[in-house]
Amino acid sequence: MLRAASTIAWYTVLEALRTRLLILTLAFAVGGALLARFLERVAIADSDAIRTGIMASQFRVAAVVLLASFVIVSHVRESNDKGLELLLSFPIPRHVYLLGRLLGHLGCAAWLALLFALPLALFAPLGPLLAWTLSLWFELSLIATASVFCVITLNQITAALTAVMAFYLFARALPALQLIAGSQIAVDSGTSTRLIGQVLDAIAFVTPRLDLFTRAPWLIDAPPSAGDVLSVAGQTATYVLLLCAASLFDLHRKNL
Amino acid sequence: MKPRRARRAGRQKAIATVPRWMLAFLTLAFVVQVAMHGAVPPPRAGAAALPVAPGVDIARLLSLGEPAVLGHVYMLYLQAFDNQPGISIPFRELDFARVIGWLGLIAQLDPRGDYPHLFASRLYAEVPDPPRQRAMLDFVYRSFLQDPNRRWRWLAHGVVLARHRLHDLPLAMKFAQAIRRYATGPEVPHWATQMEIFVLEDMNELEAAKVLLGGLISSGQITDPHEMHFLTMRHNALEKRLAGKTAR
Repeated sequence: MLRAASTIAWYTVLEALRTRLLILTLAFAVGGALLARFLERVAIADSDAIRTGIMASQFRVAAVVLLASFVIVSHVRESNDKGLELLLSFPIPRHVYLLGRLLGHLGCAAWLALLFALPLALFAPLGPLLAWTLSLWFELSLIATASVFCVITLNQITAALTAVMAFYLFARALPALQLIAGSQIAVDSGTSTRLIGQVLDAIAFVTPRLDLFTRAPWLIDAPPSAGDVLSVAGQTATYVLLLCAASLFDLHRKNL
Repeated sequence: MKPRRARRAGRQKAIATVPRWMLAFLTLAFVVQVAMHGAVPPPRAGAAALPVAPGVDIARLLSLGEPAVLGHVYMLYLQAFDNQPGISIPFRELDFARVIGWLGLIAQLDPRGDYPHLFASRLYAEVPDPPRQRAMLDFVYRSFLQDPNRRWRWLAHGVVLARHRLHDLPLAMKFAQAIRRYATGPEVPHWATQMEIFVLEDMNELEAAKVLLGGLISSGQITDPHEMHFLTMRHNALEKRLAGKTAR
């Protein structure tokens, strides 16, 4: 079972290399580094912080967009080419197929995180950079699993990509939304505001705290503690498990 | 079976076909996620310091050719800064040097906008802290000099603040004088250019006030008979006060 899963994982990584994900990542990394360098040159104050902060935050978003697009397009292509039917015609259970695909995506996430961390190594201290890279890998793993879930459920590029991006943006903004809803200064503090606050609190139970992941200030003036990294790792493990279970459920119900 | 339901059934198998261990796994993962939510610290509101405003060149680059729009966005950001998520910060606790930096940047991005000047004059300059008030009034004065015919009203409010809040008549005089000298457009009302006269009166500079008022009356700029009557009465009252002063 593990052998089949590792073969599928290996072919997923190969597919990423052959679809020029590596070149795209390098292009983003170089372009982002040049833009940050330019902004650093024109900044009047805090130029180091501006350069590192801009690089880190744009790399984070670029990595998420690249990986989500790759995962979704890869699954849709496989489905259109009847590759999934072909694979499952062999004695490979669906959960092994899913495990292989996910391992491959996590591998892609790892080298994406490493490639984006390389330009930052010139400017950021090693310890915080390691934590940042690890956290980016966790974040990308989460996004890859969410993409797999969305593409298995929705089966279309546009719908799946929109759903993943909406989930990502929402998860990053949710804590701020919760605070605003619970604030005393809300213009309308009536029933509707309270209800929205309760709905947001309920959604928070099944949403990871992405605002705590891969933070640019870690590389500038607020290095993360071991607790920060452990919390991020714990959240990733739990949420990846949940998404895996949900994906398995949907994959098993799929009539191929 | 209806065609739509049949199509859906064709795509998906019944839940009963999913192995039990998989359902148990899904349930367990959901329970662990909910339990994990309790282990992660809840979002906390913290007053973040207002950052230094970016340089105008960077801001223009970020605006992608729409500097006025970015100016509006920055203004909303600054406006909301005292109301960060879940927390309210009194204006007087803001770093006014940084606030002025942001207001200056916004005024450069959107030179025709009134928003930063309104906030500077009517909001930030009203905080009960004289050094901060003076710093903000200085910003209002400097902005006024860049476009007097458009920004005179914010400095006119600065005259009132300097006169009644700061009780600094020379400062009020400086602002009122600037309005008379530089705000010469047809859209500037007479009351704004006449402010200097009343400040002079307050400073007991009666002779100078009389000369200024006499000049205004004879200039022919005042066309409203009621306004002319009012100013003539003020002129006469000033003459009387001066005569009384000389007699003493």
